[in-house]
Amino acid sequence: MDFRESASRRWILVADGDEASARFVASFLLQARLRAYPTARGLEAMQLVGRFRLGLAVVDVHLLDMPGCDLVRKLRSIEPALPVVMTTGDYSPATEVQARQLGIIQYIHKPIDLQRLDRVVSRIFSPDGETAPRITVASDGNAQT
Amino acid sequence: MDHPRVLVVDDDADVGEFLRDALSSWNYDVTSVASGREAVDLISRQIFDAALVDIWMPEMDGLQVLDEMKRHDAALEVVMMTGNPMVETAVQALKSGAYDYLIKPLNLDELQHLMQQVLEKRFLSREVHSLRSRLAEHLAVKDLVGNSPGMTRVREVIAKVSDSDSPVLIEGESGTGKELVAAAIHRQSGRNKGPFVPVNCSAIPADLMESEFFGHVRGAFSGAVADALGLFRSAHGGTLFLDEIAELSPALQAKLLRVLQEKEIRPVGSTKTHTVSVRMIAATNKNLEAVVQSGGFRQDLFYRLNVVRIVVPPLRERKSDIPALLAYFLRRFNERFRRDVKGIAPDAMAALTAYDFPGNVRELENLLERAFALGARDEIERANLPDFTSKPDAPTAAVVDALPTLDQAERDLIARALERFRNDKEQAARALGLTVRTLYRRIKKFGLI
Repeated sequence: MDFRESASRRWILVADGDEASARFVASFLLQARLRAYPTARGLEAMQLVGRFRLGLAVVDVHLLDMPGCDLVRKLRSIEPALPVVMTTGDYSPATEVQARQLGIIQYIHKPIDLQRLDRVVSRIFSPDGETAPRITVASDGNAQT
Repeated sequence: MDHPRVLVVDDDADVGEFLRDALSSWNYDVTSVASGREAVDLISRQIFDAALVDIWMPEMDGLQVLDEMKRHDAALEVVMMTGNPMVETAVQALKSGAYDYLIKPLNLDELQHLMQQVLEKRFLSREVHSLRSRLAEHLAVKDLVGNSPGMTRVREVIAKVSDSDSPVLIEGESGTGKELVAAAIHRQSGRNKGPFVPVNCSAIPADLMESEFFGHVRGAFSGAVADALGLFRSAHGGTLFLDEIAELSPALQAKLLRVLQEKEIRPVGSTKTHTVSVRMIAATNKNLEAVVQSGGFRQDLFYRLNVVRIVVPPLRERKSDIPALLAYFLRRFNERFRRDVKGIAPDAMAALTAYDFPGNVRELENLLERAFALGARDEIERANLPDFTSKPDAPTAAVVDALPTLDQAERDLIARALERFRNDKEQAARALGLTVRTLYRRIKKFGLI
């Protein structure tokens, strides 16, 4: 389980062609005291992975400059064991089949269910639950710590 | 010895003092100031190796301080800290060239590790990383390399089982290439036009497993905004590779058994079942039979999966493959680093063949990559390889050697925090960035009561 050791020292990349969505998810993770970086572009994501170890990537199927699946392949060439969550507003089965062949740990339809994301993140960043982010999601969908 | 100089900039005197204590106990030469202005003034007169800067400060905020510092000395590594993490500050800090962005309360392990990294003269892992990202391409080993009796057997079994549709169980230590074996079976099978869907069972939270595996229908639970196929139906016509199968929850084990028997699945929230044609390949780095005996894995499921078992031998049991593996990686890395390394010097070769490789082929690959990053030219020399007697990932810079062990430093700091807060565990825990429970555990571990 090499991706778990020192997960707390790692960053979470949030890549989404819809930049507001990337920022929303990143801000949710930051509130949970995790370090997250939002971007709408795959190339910017690649710059980040050159400087920081990633512990998780939340990647949407659509980015501004490349397909999300291509970005995941590029990220994996640098972090082979990188856990990946794919998000999409595209509900077609073909998209899901394509994404799942990348070996992802979760496939999430938009709008993103933050509680689901939180559980996936907790599993990676605090597998023993000891320092699990205490996040509750209010009925208006806003994250609270 | 000259201690590395660190500048701490925080308007909160308690944090300043805390950091000064922590860093001095790790043998850093610490200067602490309470405002951005003082910091900027100081760096024009003194040289520092690193700086820790709070983002939220009155008058001149940390991001401005960062800009000033970088303007003055682009090589100075600046770590930003904040108690109020926000997307804007995180993005701006990184774009302005901060080394990292820490969230308070600071975690001591994290801080110590980070400081070691910052001050290590060669940022080796990071160099490898940025090199990799510049030359981004798919580098993972794709082929099973080697002709040792062990690997030959593995290949024979792969060829034999590819034609059938029976489940396969792959056992092997981490880094031996279990996924490669699974992918090879898929490629050589009649299902090779279908999808190969790998999944790491240990990475999926238990309560989300069912919908990940079997999909769900729209409205099955809050957040199920559309029908999802799940893993099985995504792998329909192809192969589902279940890595770390021993980590499956008992409930999922029961459901998996049913799929193997009935060849059909029912998505969460659906009344309909779907027939699936999926070949299952499972893998584990544990001895699954032993897990069965200890009650952690269902025996009936084990029998179903264990129709064919492939044991991928650890590298230390197939050392005769090392030359072939080296040749393979040399070719790949020469291509990637645009070098022409022709071979391995005899002393390096002797060291490699004498080594046990607890991390198996992946470790060998990492060693060679490191040698390339360190500048190996004509051939890989012994000096390009790390000292095998130490842990392969342990930092090697002299700076690190002068430091107390993490345990010592931790014990020291916990003792001091308890003293400062007059044994108030809750306050001490908060200051240390630990949960009270963890603090108690450490107190017990270090015998501080």
